[in-house]
Amino acid sequence: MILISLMRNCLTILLAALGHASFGYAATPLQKPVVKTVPALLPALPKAERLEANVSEIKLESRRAYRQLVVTAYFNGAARDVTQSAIFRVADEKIASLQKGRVHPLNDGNTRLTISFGDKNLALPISVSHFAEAEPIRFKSETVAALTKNGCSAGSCHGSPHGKGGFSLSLFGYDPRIDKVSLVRDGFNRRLDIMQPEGSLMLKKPLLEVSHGGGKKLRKTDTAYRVFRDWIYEGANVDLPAVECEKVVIFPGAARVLKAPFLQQQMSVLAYFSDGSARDVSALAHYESSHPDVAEVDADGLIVGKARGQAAISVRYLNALQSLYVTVIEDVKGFQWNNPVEINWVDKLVNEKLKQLQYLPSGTCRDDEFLRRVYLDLTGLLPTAEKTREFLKISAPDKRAKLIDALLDSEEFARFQALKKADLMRVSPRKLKDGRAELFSKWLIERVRQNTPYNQWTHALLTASGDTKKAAPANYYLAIDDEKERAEMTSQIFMGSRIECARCHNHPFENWTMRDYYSITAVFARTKAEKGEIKAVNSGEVLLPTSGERMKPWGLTDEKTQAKTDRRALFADWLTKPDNPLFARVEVNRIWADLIGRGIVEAVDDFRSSNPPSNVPLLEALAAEFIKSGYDRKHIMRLICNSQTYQRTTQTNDFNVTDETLFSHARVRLLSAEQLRDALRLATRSLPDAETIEPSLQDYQKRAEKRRAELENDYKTWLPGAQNEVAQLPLRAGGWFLAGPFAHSDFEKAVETALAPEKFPIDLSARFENSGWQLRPDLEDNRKNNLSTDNNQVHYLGRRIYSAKAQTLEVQIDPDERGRLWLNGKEATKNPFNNGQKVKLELQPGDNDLLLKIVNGGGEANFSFRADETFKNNLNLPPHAVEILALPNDKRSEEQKNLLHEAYFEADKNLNSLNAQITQLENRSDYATQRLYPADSTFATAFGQPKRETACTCERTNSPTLLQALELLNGDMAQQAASSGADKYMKFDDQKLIEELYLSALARFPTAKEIGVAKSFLAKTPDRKTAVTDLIWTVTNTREFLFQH
Amino acid sequence: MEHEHFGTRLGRRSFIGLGVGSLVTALTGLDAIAAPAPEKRGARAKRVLVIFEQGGLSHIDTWDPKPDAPLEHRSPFKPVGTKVPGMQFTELLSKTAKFADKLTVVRCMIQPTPGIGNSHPKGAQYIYTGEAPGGPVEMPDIGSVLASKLGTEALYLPSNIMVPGTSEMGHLTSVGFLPPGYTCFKTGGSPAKPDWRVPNLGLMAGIDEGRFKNRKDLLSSLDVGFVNVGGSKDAAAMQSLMGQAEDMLTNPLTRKAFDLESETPQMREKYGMGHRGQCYLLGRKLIEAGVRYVMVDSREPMDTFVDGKATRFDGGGNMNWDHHDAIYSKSHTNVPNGGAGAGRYGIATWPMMGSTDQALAALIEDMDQRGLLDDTLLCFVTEFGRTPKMNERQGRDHWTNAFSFAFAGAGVPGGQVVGSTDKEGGYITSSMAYTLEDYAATIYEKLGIDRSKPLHMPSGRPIYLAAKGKPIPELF
Repeated sequence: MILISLMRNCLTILLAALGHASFGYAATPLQKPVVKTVPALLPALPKAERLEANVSEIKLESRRAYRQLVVTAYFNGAARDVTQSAIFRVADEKIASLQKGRVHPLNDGNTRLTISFGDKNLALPISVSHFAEAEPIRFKSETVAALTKNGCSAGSCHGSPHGKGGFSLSLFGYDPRIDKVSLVRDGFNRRLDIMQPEGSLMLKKPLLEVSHGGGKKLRKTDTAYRVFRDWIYEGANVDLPAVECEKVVIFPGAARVLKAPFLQQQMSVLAYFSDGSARDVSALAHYESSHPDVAEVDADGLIVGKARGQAAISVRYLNALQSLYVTVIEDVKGFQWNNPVEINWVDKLVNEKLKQLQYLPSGTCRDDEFLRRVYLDLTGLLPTAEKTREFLKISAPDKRAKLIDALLDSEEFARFQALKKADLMRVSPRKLKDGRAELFSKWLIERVRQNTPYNQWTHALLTASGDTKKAAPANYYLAIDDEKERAEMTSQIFMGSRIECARCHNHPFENWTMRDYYSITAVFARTKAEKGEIKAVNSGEVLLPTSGERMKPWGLTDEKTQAKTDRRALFADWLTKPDNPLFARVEVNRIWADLIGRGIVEAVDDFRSSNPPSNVPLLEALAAEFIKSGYDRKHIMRLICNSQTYQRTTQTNDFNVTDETLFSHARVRLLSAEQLRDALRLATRSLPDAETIEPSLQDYQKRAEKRRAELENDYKTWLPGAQNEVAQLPLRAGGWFLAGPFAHSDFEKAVETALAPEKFPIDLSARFENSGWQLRPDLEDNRKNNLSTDNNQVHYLGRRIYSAKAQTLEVQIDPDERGRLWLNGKEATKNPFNNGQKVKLELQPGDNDLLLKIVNGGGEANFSFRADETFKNNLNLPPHAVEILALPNDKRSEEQKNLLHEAYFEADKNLNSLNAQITQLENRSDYATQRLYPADSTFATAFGQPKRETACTCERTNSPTLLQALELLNGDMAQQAASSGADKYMKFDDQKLIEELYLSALARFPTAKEIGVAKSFLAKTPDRKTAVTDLIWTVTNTREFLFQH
Repeated sequence: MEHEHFGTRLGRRSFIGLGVGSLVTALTGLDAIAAPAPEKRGARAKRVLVIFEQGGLSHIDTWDPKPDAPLEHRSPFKPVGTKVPGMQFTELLSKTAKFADKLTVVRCMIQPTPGIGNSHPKGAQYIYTGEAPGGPVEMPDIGSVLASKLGTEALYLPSNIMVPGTSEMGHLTSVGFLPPGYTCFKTGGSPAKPDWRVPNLGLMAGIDEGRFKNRKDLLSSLDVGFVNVGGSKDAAAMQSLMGQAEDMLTNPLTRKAFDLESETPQMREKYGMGHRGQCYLLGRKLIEAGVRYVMVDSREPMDTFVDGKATRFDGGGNMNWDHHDAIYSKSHTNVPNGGAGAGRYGIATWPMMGSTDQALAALIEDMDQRGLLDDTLLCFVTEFGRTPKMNERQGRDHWTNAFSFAFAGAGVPGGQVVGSTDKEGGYITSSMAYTLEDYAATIYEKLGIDRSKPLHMPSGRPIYLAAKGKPIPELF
C-alpha cells in the first residue's frame, strides 16, 4: 500500500534523523582519505571500538547477483564509514570476488569473507548458488533503470516532454511501455542491432562513437553498458508487465555525520519487488546530492564530504526514492561556543545545530526593534507613536511576553493571519461572487479569532458541502471546480507537497507517483459544484491515464466503507490524524517561516525527502508540541515569538555572517504589499489606529439605528405622497425579471431558437427547468450588469414600461454578446444585434411588455440597458419599487409591501451613507492587512500582492524589483501618503514633528544626528507644506522603513 | 511564378513528403538515425525589433503573390519585381520591394497543430511567447525571457517595450512565471499625436527635478542607519534598484529615446506622418537606444492624427488585419449583413497596407543606414494568414496552414525567399515548413541564448525555451 509506505518512509527518515543529532564524538585531526590498496603507507587512524557490516551473511543466488558492502566502525559511540579503508579477503577466490566493495559470484559454493580495520576483524559467510543458470536481463528493473542511472531519461535529455533529437523516453522511466516503443520499434528498428549488439545506436550514441547531442554519457566500464549490451544480445526482450519495485531500503539509513578524517560514506541499496524477491541494486540506482558543494556522490553511491553544511543524497531506483541526510562538519578557526541566552527549548534545539556546525548566534534585539517586528509579524501593522512611547518606558522584564500575549488576542491578529490563509485558498470575489468571498473570509477570521484547533477546521473545510452563499467553508470547493486542481491545492496547502508534476509523469524528485496523484484526485471526483451549491455525490471516478485503471481514493483502507462514506471524510481523517507524517509538520513550518522569514523546510510547500529540513529535531519538536497542544496555532506562535531565536538582532558576527538557513540571526525582510501599504498610511497618519475602529463602529451603528427609527416614524406619511407622485409620472419602468440561464451548445442556433420564456404575453408565473421568472432588483439601468460567468448561456429579461401616451423612446442595449428584443410581442429590431445597438421603442399608451434575450458564447454574460433621464423620479426609488407604488394599496402582496418598505429605507441618503460607513468599518476595507479580500492597485501588484490564483506562497515575490523602486520614488501612493501626512504633522514644531514621524514610521526616537539633518532641511525649504511632505516622503523611503528587521 | 531556387532545398527530410520539417523529425526521431549536420550557430543579434501586424495579414495579398489562383479567389494586386531579380511581392509592397535585398521572406510559416492558435487571443499569445497557448504553464513572452536572460544595455530604459501596445490583443502580453520586473512596458497612446508623451516615464506632476533632487539628497543623508544589516542582499538590491529607477526618472536620455520631435521632419515623413509610421520610427529609436526587445503593434486608431491633424477613419473601429469582410474595400469594411470583419479598412487603403509599406520600407532603409541591421534582428510577423478562397462577404477568413514572415538584419541573408505554397497559397509545397516555435527558437539562437539551459519556475519545474522549435536554418 503506497499510502502506508509513504507514511512509514517519511517517519523513519525524520525520526532516525532526530536520533543522530545526539551523537557525541571526539575531534580528530584532518587526514587525507584513505586508499585501501596501500595500507602500509597510511598514517595511523584512530582505533575503533567496534566494527560492523551492513550484512551478516552474503547470499548470491544467481549469476548476476552482487552485494554492496558498507563497513562501519565506532569511535566513542559515533558511527563512521570505513568501507574505503577496510581490508577485504575472500577465503576461496574461486567462489567470489570483490570489486569496489561489491561481492560478485564466480562459482557455486560456500566460502568466507574477512573484513579488517585496524585491530578489529569481522567474518561473514558467503554462499553462491544457481551460478550456471541463465539470467536474462530484465527490461524494466534493469534496462529502464540503467537509462535513468545514466541520465538518458532525465528531464533535460530524452525524458523531456518532447524528447531530444527525436528520441523520447518516459521521465525517469515512469512508463516503460513508452520506453519499449521508443527503443524497440521507433526509428525503423535502427536503435538496436540484435545481430551485432555493439553496432546498436543505443550504445554508439552515448559512447560518442557517432555524434550525440548529449555528449559522452556511457563508458564501457559502466554497469549500464553491460546491461544494454547484454539485453540487446539476448534479443531485446521486453517482459512487460514486469514485477514492480515496491520499495528500496538504503544503508546507512536516514542520516549520517561526516567529519575528518572520515569524510566518506558508502551507500548500499536493496530493492524489494512485488514477487517477494529482494535484490541489491546499488549499481543501478541513481544518486544525486542536493548540495554538491557540501557533499558529492558518485555513480557507485560513494559520498564525499566537501565543506561544512548539510545535504540530502537522493537515491532513485525506478519509482522509489529515498534520501540520506548528510551533515559535514569542519572545524572553524577561532570558533568558540559562548553559551548564549536560551529562553525556551526552541533556542536549545536551534543552538544545538548551530554549535554542531560551528555558527555563533547573534545577540538579542533592542526593544524598539522587537516592537516593530512583532507588530508587523502578528498584526501586519506598525505600532503607533503612542504605543511605542509606552512600550519603551516599561521596565518590567516580562514586557515582551505580555506584548506577545496582547497581540495574539487582538482582532488585528485574527484578520492578518486569516488573510494569509485566504491567500492560499484563493478567496477572491472574481471567483467567489455575490458576497461569497466575504463570507468565506469572515469564516477564516472567526477560526483564527477563536483559535479553533487547526485539525478541526481543516477537517470542516475539506468536508464542507452546501449552498456557498451560506455554508462558508464550502467555498473552498467553489474556488476550484476541478478535481485535479483541488488535489493539487489541498496537497500544497496541507501536505506542503507540490504534486502537480505527477499529473503527467512521476515526480522528478519525490516519491509522488502518478498513482498517488490520481488517487488523491479521486478523493475530490465526487464533489460537484452545481449552481453555487457544493454537493457530495455518489458517482465520479478517476482513471489512471497510463493504464485506464480506476483509482481508489487516497485514505480508503476498507472497500466496504467506500459506498456510504464521503471520500473527502476518509481523506480528511487520514490527513488530520496525529500520525500523519506531513500535516502538523507543514503547519508549524508555515508558522515558523511567517515569523522567522524562512522555513525550516524551504520552500514551505516543498516537503520532500530530497529537500531536507535545516534542523530536523527542531521541526520534529515543534510538530510534536503542536499535536500535543491540540493543534493550537497560537500556542506555537507564542512559543516562537518568546524565543531568543525570534528576538535576535539582524546584526551578524564573524561566525554567522554566512548563515542563511540555521536561524543564527534575524532576517531583513521587505514588507509585504499589504504591510507596506498600511505602514505608509499609518506612518503618515492617513489611516486611524486600528484600535479606534471598534468605538467608531459602535458610534455609527447607534446613529444608523436612530435614523432608521426616524424613517420608520415617517413611513405612513410618506406613502400617500409618493403614491401620488408616481401616479403623475408620464413614463416609468418596472424592475427586471430574469429567466435562466439556459445552456446552449450552438451560439447561432441559440439566437434563433425560441425557449420557454419566449412566449407572449409574458407569463411571470410560468415555470421552466426547475425555475421561473425572478424579480432582480439588483439589475440596474445605465450600467453593465453581470448575469453569469459561465460560457454558452441564454438569459431572458422581462420588464413592464408604463407610458401615459403613445411615444417613441430611444434606448441603447449592449447584450454580451448577441441580443434580441421584443416589445409587446413584436420583435423590435430587424436582426439580432451586438453591443451598441440603439433601438427606438414605439410605446403604446398604458403598459408595454419588453422582453430581452441575451445569448453569450465565451466569457461572462452581461448586459446593459441605457435610457436617458426618462425613468428618473424624485423619490430616488428603484424601478421595482416605483412599479409597486403604482399598484393600488390593496393590490400589493405582503412580499411587495416588504420590498417597498425596504426600498424606502434604501432611498434615504443619510441612512445609506451611515450603512456604508458601518460596512467599511466592519470589513476594515481601509486596511490592506485587515480587509476581507485584497484590493487591486498598481502599488499592490508591484509589491507582489497575490492575485489569489494559485495555492502557492510563491505567488508573492519577495525580492525587490525595479517596479517597486519606481512606485516608491515616483508613485502616487507614496506621494499621496506623504502629502496627506504633511497636513497632520504640520501642526507640530520641528522637534516634535521629527520625533513623532520617527516613532510612527520606525518605532524609535530619532538620533541627534537625524534631528539635525531633518531640522536643517525643514529650515532651508521655504514652503512649509513642501518641506514637511518631502521629509515624510524621505523617511518612508528609507530602507529602515521599507524592511522589517 | 514560383522561384524554387531561392530557398527550397531537397534535403534528407524531403522523402517524408509531408514537408513539415522540424515537426515531423521531432515525432519520428529521424535525427537520431541519420546524424544531422551540426546546426549553424550565428548569435549575431544584440536586440530584436518585432513588427507584429495583428489580426492575420493576408499573405497572398502581400509577400506571397498568387497570379495563377482561380479568378474568383485571386488577389487583385499584381506581382511586382523587387530589387532582387526573380523575387516578387504584390504591388501592395512596392516600396518595400526596393529593399528586398535586405530581406528573407519565409513563405512556409505554419501553425503546426490546427486550432491551437486559430483565434486572435491565442494567435497573439503564440506570437508573444513562441509557445502553443493553453499548455500547463503560463509562459512568459519572448521579450520577458530576453529581459530576464540578457538584462539591458540601457539602464535608464525598460528592456522589454511594446509600442504602443494598443492592438486588440495588446493586453495579453504576459510575464508568466518570471518576476514582475520583466513585464512588458507599454508606451500607450498614439505617437502620431502632436502632444503625445509616455505616461509614468518621468517625474510625476508637481515634483520637478529640483525638488526630486532635494528629496534624494535628504534620503542619502537619512538612509544610513541601515547599511549592511545582516549582510542583507535584499536591502542592498533595493538601494541599487532605487538608483536605476532614479536614472530612469531623471536621465535626459530616457526622454530622448521617446522623443519623436528630436527626429528631423524629413525622417518622420519618410516613415509616414500617421500612427503606424511614427510607431515604426519609435521602434527604431528605442532599438537605437539599446532596448533589448521592442515589439511594435501599430493598429491604426479610428480617431487619429495624420500630418499632425486630427483625422477620422469613419467606421474603422478596429483596424487590424482581420479581413473577414470586404477585404478589397476602398474604405471601411462595414458591409450589410457583415460578419466579424466589420470595423476594418480595406487592405489596400492608407491606414492598412499603404502606411505599412511606407513605414516598413523606411524602417529597413533607415536601420540599414544607421548600421542597426548589423546586430538587430528585425522580424515582420502576424498570427496567421488568410484563406485562399474568398467568402460570400468578399472577405478572407483565418488560415493557419500557410503564411509569410519577413526577417532582416543580424546575419539574416538578404534577397532570399524560403519555402513555397501551392498556386492558391493554401498549402506549403516546399520540403521545409516552419512553426511559430521555430520562429521563437530563431530569436533565441540569434541572441546566443543556450536553449539547453532551462528557465525554472518558482516550483522548480524546468522550462525549456521553444522546446518544440528549431532555429530556421536559412536565417543563419
